[in-house]
Amino acid sequence: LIALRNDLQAGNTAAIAATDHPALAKDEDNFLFHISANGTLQAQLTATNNLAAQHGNRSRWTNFPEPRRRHRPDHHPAKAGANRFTPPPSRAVPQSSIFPSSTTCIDKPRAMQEAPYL
Amino acid sequence: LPEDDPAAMQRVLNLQAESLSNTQYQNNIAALQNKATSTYGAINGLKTISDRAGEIATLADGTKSPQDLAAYATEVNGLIQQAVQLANTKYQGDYILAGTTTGAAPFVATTDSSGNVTAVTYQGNTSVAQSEIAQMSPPRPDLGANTTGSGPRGLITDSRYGADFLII
Repeated sequence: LIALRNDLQAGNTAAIAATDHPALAKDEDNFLFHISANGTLQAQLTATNNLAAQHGNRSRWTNFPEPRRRHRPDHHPAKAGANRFTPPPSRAVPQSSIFPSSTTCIDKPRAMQEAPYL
Repeated sequence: LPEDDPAAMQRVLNLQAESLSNTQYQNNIAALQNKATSTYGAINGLKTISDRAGEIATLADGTKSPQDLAAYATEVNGLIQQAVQLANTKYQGDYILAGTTTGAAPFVATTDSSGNVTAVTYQGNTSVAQSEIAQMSPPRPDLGANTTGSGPRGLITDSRYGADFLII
């Protein structure tokens, strides 16, 4: 810019065309490079922030262990309705081997509801 | 009680630590985003000045009178001063293009008795502050540039690419 100003003051249009104009084009390229790099950085930051927010929400609301429920002896399986768990007859687990007296109870731990074949 | 289920308690503590570090990462990201936005504003302003200077360089051909060229020279002098101001943009009290020496204006213009800027010197350094934004991820520089070691100065003047917008 200073060279351009000096050449303008001196009326040296030949130097402006031969030297200053190409130099300004290189400056413009440099700015464009840094503007695009800035845009890339902002995109990375936005994406990382979104991931961090999602991860934070999962940590807060879903990663905590399920609280264990106590077995309630008065909760009869017949009252459990549609949610009652019944092992498949061919692979039914003997009650005494894993969870005595409560394999058909809705209030058994979640792990057993999800893995009935253990 | 924690002793009732130590494994669950350990998991809770791990999650709390993870949540804290996650919050710190998000704070780092927010700070970097704000600074990147400020940097973008400065570079964009410099690009606008560069565009106008390019127009003047195109217009200032052999057909223009000396008065026209003098008027262009006055305008370019104003553009230089604007560019110095933009290069000294601050974010939260720190000069964003000063590297890690953020206390003093990095670009210093020298003017003659006529008010013409005769030289611009850079008084910052080439270091770039970095922040971690995620686990297992390299720290990000707080500018959208300078990955090649030219430092903040490289946004305006980088001899490797022939860019010498302000500093001669």
